[in-house]
Amino acid sequence: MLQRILLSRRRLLGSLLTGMALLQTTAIARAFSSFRSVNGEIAGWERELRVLVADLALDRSIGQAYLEKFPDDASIDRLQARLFGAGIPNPPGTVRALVLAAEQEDYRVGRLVCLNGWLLSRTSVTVAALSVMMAEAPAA
Amino acid sequence: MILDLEQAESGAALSTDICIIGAGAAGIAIAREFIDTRYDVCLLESGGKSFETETQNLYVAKNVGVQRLPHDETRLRYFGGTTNHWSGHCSPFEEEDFKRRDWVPHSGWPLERAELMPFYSRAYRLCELDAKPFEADWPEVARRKIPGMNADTLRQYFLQYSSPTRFGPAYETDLQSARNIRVVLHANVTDIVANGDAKAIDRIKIRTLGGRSGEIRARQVVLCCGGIENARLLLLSNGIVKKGLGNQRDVVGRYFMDHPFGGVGLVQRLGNAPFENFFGSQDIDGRRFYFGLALTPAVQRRERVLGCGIQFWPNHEYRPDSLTDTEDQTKSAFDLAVFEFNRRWHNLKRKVWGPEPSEGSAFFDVMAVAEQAPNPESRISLDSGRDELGLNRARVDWRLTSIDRETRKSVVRAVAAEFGRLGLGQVRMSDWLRDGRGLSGNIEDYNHHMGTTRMSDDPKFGVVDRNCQVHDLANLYVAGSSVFPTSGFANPTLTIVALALRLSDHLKQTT
Repeated sequence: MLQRILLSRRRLLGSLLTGMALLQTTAIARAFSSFRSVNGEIAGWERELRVLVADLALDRSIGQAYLEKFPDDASIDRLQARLFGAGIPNPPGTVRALVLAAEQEDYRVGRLVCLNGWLLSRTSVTVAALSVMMAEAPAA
Repeated sequence: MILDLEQAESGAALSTDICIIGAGAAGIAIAREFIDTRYDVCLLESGGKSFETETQNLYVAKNVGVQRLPHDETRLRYFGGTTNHWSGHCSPFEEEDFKRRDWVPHSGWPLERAELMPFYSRAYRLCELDAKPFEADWPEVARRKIPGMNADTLRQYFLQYSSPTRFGPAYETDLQSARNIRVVLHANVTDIVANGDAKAIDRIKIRTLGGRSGEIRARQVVLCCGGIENARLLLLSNGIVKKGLGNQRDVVGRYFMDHPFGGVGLVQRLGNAPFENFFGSQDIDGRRFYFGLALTPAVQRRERVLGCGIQFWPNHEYRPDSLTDTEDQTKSAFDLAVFEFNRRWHNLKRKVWGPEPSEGSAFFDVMAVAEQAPNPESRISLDSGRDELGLNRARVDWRLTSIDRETRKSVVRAVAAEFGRLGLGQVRMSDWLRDGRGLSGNIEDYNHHMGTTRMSDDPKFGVVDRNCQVHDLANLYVAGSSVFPTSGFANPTLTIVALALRLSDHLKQTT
């Protein structure tokens, strides 16, 4: 499972630095493959999202509960769109700030999702669902 | 002076200017206003100066609606009435409580709060409190504000604690020494008799449990027996008007309300969010206060729900990892995952409240004490069972409606959104509320009996008018929470006393 592999941000960053060879053999690699841009490189913002997911060390149950409740969202593209709309975060280094701002905005406008009684921001559970989908993404 | 009907000759007849039936908060407040005036006042009390089981048993009622606490335990029937065990919470009703709201059927008082404010000031003093109802009156209270709270969603409220004033012992000496006041103990009113054309009260029949009886003739009669007994006595007084006094239009006893109370959710505290500074009982400047949150009028209007106070009770027992039931284990595993999820999200953000506390509860129950929507099907009527005086007991059919339920959901959503935004905590809605289960069994009554002789300018929808006079009866008035057209969520005693003082002034002008 993703969270068992991505134990820490340090490990993820280490993985990124040691290169794509390692990534190709792990769940991370499978997930990353679905995020590759046309030229085969991993976009910076996608890496940032990965780091965020790693920092949260998400338990699958939250993302799964979300996907059970909203099965139409069970695709990485769909979840990405939920997070960022049609645009790609720019400039680099803004993903975390964007996600946290979106989370705050959810609370401000009452955009909450009820999972087993817990009222959580739509953004936070979208990230949780994305982590599940990324872990399950087939190899490229 | 204080007399005891048990010690008097049977068949006693008294004549007075003003006869007040019931020596609780309202009755004593009114009687005090007449001390050393030109009026002769008779204050009737069913009980003695202290608790007596036989008299208390007269309060036994039959409950047929939503489950309630026993009515012979939640009320007290002796001098001072239920103030002999009240908690002392004092707060005026909200300004909005008096207004008509198009999403709340039968809402709206025939008076505004501004009209009641001078009487609230006097009521505070009777409850032995400073007449300072607002935050601006208490600089220390104002400093307890939650920084950044969205005033459009939730607002902080506070109430003061009375000592609590036991109206019997507190004002017994005043009444005892007053030359124009007669307090008559053990005087159970068995019938309020209207004159032949049912336009006024002719006399009041009284009797002791020992069998002594008497009659009182008064220029003005004020009923002050509480939210259930006021209606019961009017319904029992059916010698001339067969449906009961003031009940030609079948309104007496209807619209029975309480403050439905109970848990609606759980909060996981984030960081060291200082719940203890923001909520609960606190001593400030030598006074005791209670702090909570309330749904704002804007939210009520937007979501078409009722007023509601929100309290946060530390839950030290909550241990999701200690549950044994399989279903609960599944739930608790999810809860544990969410707890960690919430912590990590919180740590990603600015740590608004600093590191987690080393002590204090990590969880708080979200308790809602709400206004109840006026509902004509929620009612007090007469039961076939009879008490020791041979009078029909009260039959209590407390009914709640969908708006009472939706209000609780709004509360949880509002708290979840605002606490999430402020980084105070994450909220889980109670299973019963989420599953669509009924309110019955998941809420309790708050022993606040209201609405059964409600105030309205239109006799079709009310028993008394804006002056608390029973429609079409020239000299019968009602005091107490039974005249409330809507209930707000504030504890009723201060408003009961304020309305009683207002009625006293009216009686002085008209008697």
